[in-house]
Amino acid sequence: MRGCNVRGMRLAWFAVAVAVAACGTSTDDRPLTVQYVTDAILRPTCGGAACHSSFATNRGYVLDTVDGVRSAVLGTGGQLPLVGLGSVPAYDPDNPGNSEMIRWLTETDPDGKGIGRMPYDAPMPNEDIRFLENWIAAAAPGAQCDPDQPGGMGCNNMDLHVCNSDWTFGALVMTCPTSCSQGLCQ
Amino acid sequence: MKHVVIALAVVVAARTAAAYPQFQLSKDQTCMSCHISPSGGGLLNENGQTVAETISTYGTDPAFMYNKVPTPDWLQLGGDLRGAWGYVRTPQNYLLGIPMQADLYASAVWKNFRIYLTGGYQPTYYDVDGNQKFAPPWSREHYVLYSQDPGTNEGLFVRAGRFMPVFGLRFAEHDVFTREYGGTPLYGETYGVAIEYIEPKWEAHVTGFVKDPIVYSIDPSNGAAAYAEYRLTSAASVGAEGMLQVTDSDKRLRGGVTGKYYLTGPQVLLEGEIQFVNQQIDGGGAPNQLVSDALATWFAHDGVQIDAGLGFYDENIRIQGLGREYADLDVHWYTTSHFEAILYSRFETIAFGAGALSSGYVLLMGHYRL
Repeated sequence: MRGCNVRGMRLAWFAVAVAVAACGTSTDDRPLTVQYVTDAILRPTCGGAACHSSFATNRGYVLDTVDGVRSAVLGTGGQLPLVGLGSVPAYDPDNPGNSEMIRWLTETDPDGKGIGRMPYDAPMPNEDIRFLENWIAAAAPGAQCDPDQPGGMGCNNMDLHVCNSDWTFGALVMTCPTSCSQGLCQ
Repeated sequence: MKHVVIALAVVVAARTAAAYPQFQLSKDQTCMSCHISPSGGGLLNENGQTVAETISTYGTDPAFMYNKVPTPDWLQLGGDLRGAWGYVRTPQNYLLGIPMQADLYASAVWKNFRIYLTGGYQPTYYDVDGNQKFAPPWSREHYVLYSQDPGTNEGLFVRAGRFMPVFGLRFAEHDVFTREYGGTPLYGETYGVAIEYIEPKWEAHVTGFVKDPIVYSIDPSNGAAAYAEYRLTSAASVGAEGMLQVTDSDKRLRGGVTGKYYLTGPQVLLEGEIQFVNQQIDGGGAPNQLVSDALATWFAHDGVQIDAGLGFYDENIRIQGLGREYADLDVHWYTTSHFEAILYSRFETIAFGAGALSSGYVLLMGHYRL
């Protein structure tokens, strides 16, 4: 009888978990904001104490604060710029899957230095990776440019914009003369 | 590569010196029956040392340093050392062997007041040039405790200082989902004030806490936590919990229940916790989350304890494919009053059955209590 109680409780718990998992909708209407990306996904998944927290700043990435995520995406700001994958852009709205953040989440050893797919302890759900790709495809709202950069402007794909205080692109100023790197015309 | 392995090892394997909630109801009624702290963990009191000796296979003197370093009655000293070796798949394969914890404890009592200090290892960090650095020792916990009746482990307690709020079942393993995603993550200690009342029949803890202005905390929030537990019989208890956390960019409201039942015949303790979380994110978005853990513990043999656990976390229950599940199987062998060998294993999936990547580990851990 006691054995039945044990099995019954385990089965009940598992049934609740499966039922909750199955109850979700396939429509992903989560807001494409840097705050949501940070607080709902990156901070709990990547911002662990020994990982990309404000304390550990593992390999320069800080992913437990909005400012840290902005800096990691742009490669600018008060934190270390992200390590970089050579010619791979920090984020690429035209090809989100080629963006550095996405490559770290989907590839094994993307920089050839023996560093495995992120996160280290358990993979990120595919739905979250797709959501991050959607955010990048929308030009990473909230992490498009750093208003504290020279002139309060930032560029992407050669277009130089005024940078709003919420780190979004404002009015178009000009086209960069040669290239755009780390948010600034070169 | 070395720093990668160290970082990974800390991620997957670090433990803090927390109490085993498996012992509550199976060995004694409250955490304070065996620990000095109202929340359990860290230094053992005299009864806790006796339990440590009783449950171990080979006994040995359970006192600090085998009583070779006697201390006066008003002073208690202790410490915990942990290291682990094993295999991790994430889905890459790693072999690991690392030290994980080195903490020393000191506590002094004077009349109704007690000072409690923990000092030791803190995780490595990276400097501005990207070089991995060993951080100086830190103190995760330090507080002053007022006891209404210092001669007992019951009554009113008031704590002020740096500590982890009492919340939920408080498993020792930080990667249990109700800790990792449930409001008490590894290195989540912060400054606060707690009012706590403990009796054999029930206990209640209310803690107000602030974003730590001095020492790094993984969860930089202001807020409050409450946990109450009522013991229906000497073998069964139910609990309720609530927490509000406010950071610079979001608010999280948690509510949940806990339950424990000890089957005295087969010596099996069943316990579980389920938590509902509503997160309000600045700029939009309010995901509802579910966090739960269930654990069956069999005190199988003299000194041997087997835990079988299941965990579930869904970061947004409205969206399919975000649920995570794990199954744990752990074997503890309390060899002496001071040493414990533990075999930890986990298999973790995403959206069980949907074909997403899985992960897991098998780790052999040694734990030495000074």
